[in-house]
Amino acid sequence: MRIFVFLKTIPDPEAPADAYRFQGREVEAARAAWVLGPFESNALELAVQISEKLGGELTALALGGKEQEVGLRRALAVGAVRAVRIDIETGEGWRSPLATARALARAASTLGGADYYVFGRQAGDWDQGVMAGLFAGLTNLPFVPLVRAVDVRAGELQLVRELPDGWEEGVLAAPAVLSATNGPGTLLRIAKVRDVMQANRKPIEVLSLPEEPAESLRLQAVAPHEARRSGRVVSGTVAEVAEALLTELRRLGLVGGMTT
Amino acid sequence: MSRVAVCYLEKDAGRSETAEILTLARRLGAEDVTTYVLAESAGRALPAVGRLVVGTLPSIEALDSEGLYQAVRALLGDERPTWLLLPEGRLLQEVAARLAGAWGYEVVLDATEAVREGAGLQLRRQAFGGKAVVNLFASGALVLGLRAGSLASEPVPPVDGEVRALETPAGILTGRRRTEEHGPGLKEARVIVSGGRGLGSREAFAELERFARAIGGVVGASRAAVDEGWAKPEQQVGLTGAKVAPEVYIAIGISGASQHLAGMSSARTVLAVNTDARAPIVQAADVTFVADWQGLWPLLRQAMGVD
Repeated sequence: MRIFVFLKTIPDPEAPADAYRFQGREVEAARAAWVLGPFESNALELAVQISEKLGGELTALALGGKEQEVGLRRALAVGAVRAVRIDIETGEGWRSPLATARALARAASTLGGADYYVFGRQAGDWDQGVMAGLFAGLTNLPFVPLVRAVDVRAGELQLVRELPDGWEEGVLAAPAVLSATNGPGTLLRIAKVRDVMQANRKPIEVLSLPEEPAESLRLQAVAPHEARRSGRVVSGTVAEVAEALLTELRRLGLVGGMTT
Repeated sequence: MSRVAVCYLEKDAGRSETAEILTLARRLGAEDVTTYVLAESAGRALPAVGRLVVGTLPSIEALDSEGLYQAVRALLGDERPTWLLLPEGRLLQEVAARLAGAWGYEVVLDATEAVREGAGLQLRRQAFGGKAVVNLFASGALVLGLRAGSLASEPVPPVDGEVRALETPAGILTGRRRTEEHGPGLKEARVIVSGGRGLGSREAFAELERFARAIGGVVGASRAAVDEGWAKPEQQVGLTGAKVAPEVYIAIGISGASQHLAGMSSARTVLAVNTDARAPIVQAADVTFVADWQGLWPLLRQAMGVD
């Protein structure tokens, strides 16, 4: 059993807006730390659980420059046996979703393919949420999105997934593509210090691929999205703040009593 | 010549998301538009732009993601529109990107604007958790999804269509069953009280329910509170949880990661309770009360007469 998990290391999405600069077609986030994307951390946890429970071998893949080693090392520290950085010579920062998915599909096939392919539901930078589906379409594999928990019963992979109005569970046979969503069942475990240190000494393979042909979707501009409100701040003693909040709740008609 | 196809599920025929996508199909002014609907029975007139093709299947609800994908493929057959438009819901989550990959199409979901420019489409969407707005230009074939509420929809009259009986496709999940239904929740709520990691404990989060009930609201949560296991995933407000637009949104112990802000920015009034007056939530709120909720709640509770 082989499992591939696709990771993306991105500028910390929790960093304040002023840590980013959006101008022209460029995104600069020099003041934000590189972190494993939030949904990729869910994907990694899901993939580790699948490999542990089904007795499989986990490979972590990431497309991009050296910064991608942040996520790949995290994967090595929590149970991946192999980490591969997909390197594409390119002068352009933004690659269309289809071109990216083509590169991932080509990398997966070069590495011999897997039984389960695990993605996060969306990357925390461009927020497109299409990579797992595109990959499934390109590789002609079944696609089960928004998985929040997995278990193994009688040697079969049991999963729980999100629907627009509820949850469903079922057994998923390989090969298939999954995308992970967040929940208590996909919260990435904390690696042991010893495993982190060992992961830092393990090699990260580099797979060099040619650039995919340009696709028909182009990034024209990225600009800051201005927040609409700039709020009033009320501070003071707890009693003063409580009184001010009550006044506001009365004004909004949410609490009975005197309106001001 | 550009061709547009729209595809939706019959049960969504009356939803505003469907009306929006049909309105867009009309506005794109393509020479050739076809509306495809997956329906459980034939014979009902359905809102459509251009020609209507209805594919019938006995039980659409029973299809898993694989079954739904195969059903859409069977319905569309050899159709290869320039632009395929899908409304928010299962078709976007389970079918859109995979179909794009299979067809070799680009795909853009969650667009807030789509305008025809020459033979292409000028698109806008948010990125970086709502911190940025991105302009894209699609010069070729595209699968497109709109963010709900992006377009003022026009009435689209129902028409009769050609009917194709589809075979029930095989699924991929076996022993499939629904485990939980989301109750009427955040989307319909007039008042939402959301809690985050700043609440500090499961017990403190559970207490929010009393406050919310006292002011006629329901409880929402940040991703952090869901990850801690204090709240259920369906309570999550944010870019990837529910996008809500209540009259009043009260964020308690939520620092305001942009992922969260993207889910609640349409609220009419936003109040925040936070210990940090420099947290990002302050910029996204009308009023921020700087205090520790643990200290504030006993006083409010007493003043409001909550048991």
